[in-house]
Amino acid sequence: MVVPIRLMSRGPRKVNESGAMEPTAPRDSGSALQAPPSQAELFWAVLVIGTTCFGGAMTGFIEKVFVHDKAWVSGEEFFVSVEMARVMPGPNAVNLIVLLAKRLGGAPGAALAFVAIISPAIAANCLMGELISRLTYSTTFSNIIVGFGAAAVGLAAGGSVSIVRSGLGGFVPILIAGAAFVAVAILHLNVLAALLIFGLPTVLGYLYMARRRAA
Amino acid sequence: MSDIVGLFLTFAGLSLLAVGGGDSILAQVERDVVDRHHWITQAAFVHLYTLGKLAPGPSTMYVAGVGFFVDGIGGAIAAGIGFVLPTSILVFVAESFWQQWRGTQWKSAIQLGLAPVTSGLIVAGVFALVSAQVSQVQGWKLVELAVLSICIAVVALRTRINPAFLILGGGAVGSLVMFV
Repeated sequence: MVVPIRLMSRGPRKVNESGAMEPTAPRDSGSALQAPPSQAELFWAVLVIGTTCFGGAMTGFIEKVFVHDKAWVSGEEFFVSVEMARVMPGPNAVNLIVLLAKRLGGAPGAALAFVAIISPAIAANCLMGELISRLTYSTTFSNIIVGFGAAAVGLAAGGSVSIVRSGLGGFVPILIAGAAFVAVAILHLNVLAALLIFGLPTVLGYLYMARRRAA
Repeated sequence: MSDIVGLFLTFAGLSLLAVGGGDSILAQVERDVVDRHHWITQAAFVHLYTLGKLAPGPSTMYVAGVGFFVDGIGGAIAAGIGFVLPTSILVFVAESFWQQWRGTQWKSAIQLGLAPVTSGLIVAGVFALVSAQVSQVQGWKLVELAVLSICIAVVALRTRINPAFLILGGGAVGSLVMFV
């Protein structure tokens, strides 16, 4: 797919409370975009992202490479892609890479970028699995990993507070979130059932309200 | 059904439920791989999740570690690809319609309506991790590790420190707690 060189708009970034950089609505800066990369350049750039970005906060890193360093996509294009990546199911970072790569390299580019973003993670997690399987009966290792587990719990809790605060405004959303939590965590309800029971009526409710406001 | 096919299908199905990102189905992943399929123990699951935070790339790829535990490298590839391929195809196809759909009431309603449920699911995932930690440690060490977890949560909320460094630093302190 050939993408014409056009004016680039770089969106200002803000940092969310979990430390991840997030794009905001873009503004024009007047800088020109670079020509779209070859498939090899795209693959290599995504492979570098997949290999060097640790800790899961990838959106800001991807923006830095695609929008600022390489200037392959505009801030507005990136903003739209992030928005879509978050609405669709699946890991946000992989969704985002697939969207950007499709824009730059079509189906082959998206396929190559898909391989490039997940390969380092799969290889590294194989090593982690091997480490755990070899040392699982070691008391020393068990103690260390339980200590690290406490840090992982804290990190997950911090991230969840940030997401919950941004996703909940008002009494009804808090009530729905609480009900979904109890249903899944305490009553062991399947996530699909929770999405249908709590998500579907809420979506229809918002749709009804939006149509009433528009009427 | 072989383990590799089972891993692929299980994680492919789970990924399609991951509205709001991979962490929203953490509790369901744990339940499926530990209680339903008996592929790994609860402790191993938490260990894989924890060490997965130190791996590069998307943090939800800890599922590849689960697959590795079950069936080696083939299992890791099956679980890893299963977890991202269906949603990637979905995103790839949906992108063509996104611009028309973007400003519609449906899109806003789905985004707003699923946010509270996703929040509840993410907290349920944290609850599953906490439950697993509680089953491994008792007494004062549990209290000390709980304080450490709260401190890490506050630091994660208030600062821009890379999560991998938080895991490394917090893990070092947690390990000391376990040995002292």
